[in-house]
Amino acid sequence: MNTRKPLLKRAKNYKRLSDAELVDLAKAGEKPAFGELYERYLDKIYNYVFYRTGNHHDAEDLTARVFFRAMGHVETYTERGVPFQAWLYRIAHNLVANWHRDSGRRKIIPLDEFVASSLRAEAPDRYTEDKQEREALMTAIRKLPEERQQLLLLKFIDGLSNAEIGAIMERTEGAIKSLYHRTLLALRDDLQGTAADDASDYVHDEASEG
Amino acid sequence: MQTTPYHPQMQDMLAAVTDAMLTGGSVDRVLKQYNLPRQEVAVFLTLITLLHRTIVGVKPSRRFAQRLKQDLMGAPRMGVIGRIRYLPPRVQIAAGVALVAGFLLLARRRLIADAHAETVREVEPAT
Repeated sequence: MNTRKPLLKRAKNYKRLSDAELVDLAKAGEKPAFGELYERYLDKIYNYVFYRTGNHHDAEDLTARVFFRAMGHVETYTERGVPFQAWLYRIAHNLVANWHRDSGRRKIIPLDEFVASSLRAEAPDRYTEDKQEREALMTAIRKLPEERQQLLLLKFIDGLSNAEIGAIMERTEGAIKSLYHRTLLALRDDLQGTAADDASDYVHDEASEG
Repeated sequence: MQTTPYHPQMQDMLAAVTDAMLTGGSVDRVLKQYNLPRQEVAVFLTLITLLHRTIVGVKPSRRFAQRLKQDLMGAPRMGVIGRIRYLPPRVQIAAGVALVAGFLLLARRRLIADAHAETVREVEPAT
């Protein structure tokens, strides 16, 4: 059955259409349909790229490339268990991976921009303590393997469910749960190690001063 | 890395607690559903809370969002000019300076070549 005609008739109310319907329209050459998909996913993709690159300039450049590539290849996209959102994230993931591969020095990502943005709403007296705590956490996150970093971003930035994350990362929901658990264990161990190091430094300083 | 005999239950609890925290649901209600050691749960709760507070969303600038949408809707694919527009300003400036320097270098070579040709032409009749 051809479903394209009725879709085209409803095309003006893009906001009510599902991703799959919008993709069908975009494949048929309806640019505003792709525009609606862009509106839906711009913030998510931008956030994802921003946290993987560490600055707004590269995030803008790579986000633009993600959407241009998606628009250029939308005709070749077929759902087959991979939702449009997951497909878009895979494009972003590949572009970010290429970006990291192009230059090793880019892997050193400054922490200030992340931490400052998360501290804006905090009271000044807690600022220093929180800043150190969050910097320690961001450092620990950076040490994680790439897939674990990706999992944290998809969960905490985009608020995706384990099933949605599984579709993006090509894993089962159970595997994502397990990966999340192992990620938290790794972070816990790293932070406890950092805290222990700080404490021993403190004791050492006290002893040398005394 | 420390392992516990509660893995499957712990995994379910961590997923449920995180979802509750991210969606503004009741974390206490989730915790009551699981019978897990308090001390171990407390460490994870602190960590999840810290992750929630640290990894916060950012927004692309409105100017960027509008310009990209216009470009997507107007252009079938991004050409060289389009790509340059999304480069960081410092790179754009460096590219501009390199372009001008290249142009000046070419112009200079052309002038020197012309001057040389002129000299040769002036010298040739004498020989």
